[in-house]
Amino acid sequence: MIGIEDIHFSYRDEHGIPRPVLNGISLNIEPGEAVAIMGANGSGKSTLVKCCNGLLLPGKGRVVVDGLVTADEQSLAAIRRRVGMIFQNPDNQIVSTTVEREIAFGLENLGLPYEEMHARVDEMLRRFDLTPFRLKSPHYLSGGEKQRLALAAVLAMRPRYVILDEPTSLLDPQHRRQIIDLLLKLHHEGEIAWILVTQFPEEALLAGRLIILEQGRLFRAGKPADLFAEVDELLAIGLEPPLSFYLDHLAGG
Amino acid sequence: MSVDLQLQDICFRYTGIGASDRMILDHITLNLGGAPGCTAIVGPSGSGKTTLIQHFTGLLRPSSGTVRVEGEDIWARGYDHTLLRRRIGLVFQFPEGQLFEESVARDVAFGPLNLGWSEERIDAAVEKALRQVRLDPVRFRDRSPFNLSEGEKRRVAIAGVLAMEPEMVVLDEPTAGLDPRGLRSVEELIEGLIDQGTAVVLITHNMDFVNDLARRVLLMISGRIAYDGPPAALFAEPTLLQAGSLEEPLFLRERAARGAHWPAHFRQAGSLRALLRIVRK
Repeated sequence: MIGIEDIHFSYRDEHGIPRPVLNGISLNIEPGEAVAIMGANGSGKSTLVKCCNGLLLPGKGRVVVDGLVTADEQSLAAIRRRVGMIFQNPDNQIVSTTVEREIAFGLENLGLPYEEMHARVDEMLRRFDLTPFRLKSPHYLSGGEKQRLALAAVLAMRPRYVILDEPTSLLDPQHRRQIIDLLLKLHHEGEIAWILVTQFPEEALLAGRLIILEQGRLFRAGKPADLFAEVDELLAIGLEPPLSFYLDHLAGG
Repeated sequence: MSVDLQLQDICFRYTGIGASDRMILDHITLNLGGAPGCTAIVGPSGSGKTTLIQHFTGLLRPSSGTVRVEGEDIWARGYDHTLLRRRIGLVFQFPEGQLFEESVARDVAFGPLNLGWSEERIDAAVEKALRQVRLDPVRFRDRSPFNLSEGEKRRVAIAGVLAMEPEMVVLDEPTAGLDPRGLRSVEELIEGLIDQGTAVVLITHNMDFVNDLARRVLLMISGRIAYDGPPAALFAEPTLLQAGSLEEPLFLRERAARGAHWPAHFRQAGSLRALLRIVRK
């Protein structure tokens, strides 16, 4: 379980004045759970998920991953193995000189046997349509191809939880669907919990639980369909429901 | 106000260590001259969309073929690419990553400053560009770009291009990662550009956006142009959508799915944006 216990986070602005981003958030993410997080830009979504694997440490409160506290430096490596992370812009996380090596990179650090490592690399190349590029430099891939590579590299490590911070914003509709289908499959297999930060309400609809943030606070949490039925409430905080909910609302009102 | 831009039989492939040997642009002939309005470029990731627009201002040199602006070959000896980059403004993916100045005003002024404009002209251009992206100059000009919201940063970066008063604006995935408000503000901004007669070229994966804004759509598949025409005809062609890794806009799908249940007063609307205008009246 990822336990988020009353966390606060702020940064200092250009005048040295602290600007709060997270104002006391508590929630638990269970193993195998499928969670979507939505909120307007600046509501604290990215900050919240970066606290989940120790990329950021809350100023107050704490985050506990399967019993390991993120503030404990000794636990960080173990936490990062459990909690994989995919960012919006894959340029920020791809480090290797070939596609194949990018996927193998994390596996080498896990100390996997050679055969096992190769099997996993091959599987990921196949699953993400990257086999034709295996010996190419990631530098020459398109934005969408790089995003598939970043996801392949993280999933190859078989984390227990994977956090995806708007992973599909650069993908074409069919590759977007491919990523989402894969997340659904992982969920059905019950292997990996995923936490998807998204601006696409249609994607959030696929999660078991939706968490909506507003100005650094937990605004609502519950079944996506229940939360999306409150259209006026969503519009008031700068969000929109899936189009079908929106149309029902417009037709009724 | 528009730029006569013609690409004649352009091919492009990367050369260099680790480069894929595939042809990224494969014999593209394209005329973007004349009419203002919005042209959308759509297609699968890796189909060559971003590479194509980098040819518009000479950021990439074609392996073969010619790029002409107002009939002049932009790779002819002595051709001034600086002037070209003022006339055709390119807004890259996640352009906010390139913000670097200490204030919003200085960042937006960076392009005009390099063009050697007078201080008064730069001030006026910065003010106008900030208004165009719906950021109040009084509130925003002295703020640090790094402490803005993602949507605001995006708009500051776009303002930096608009400040050079381009005749054509090319935006690569301008709404990626923006929330609905940010998305609507970019949509309004594009409508504003179209209204004032600036030609807009838009790369996007958002088919509802294309349905809302574009008059013409280019579908790229594997470095070729597989479709060039009005959006409606593309969306009515399932095999092309499939080949292009696309989906019909959600709005059109919902409308079709609801059939007779589609309310009478919705009939005039061809997009969510148009529908919202009707409902709000």
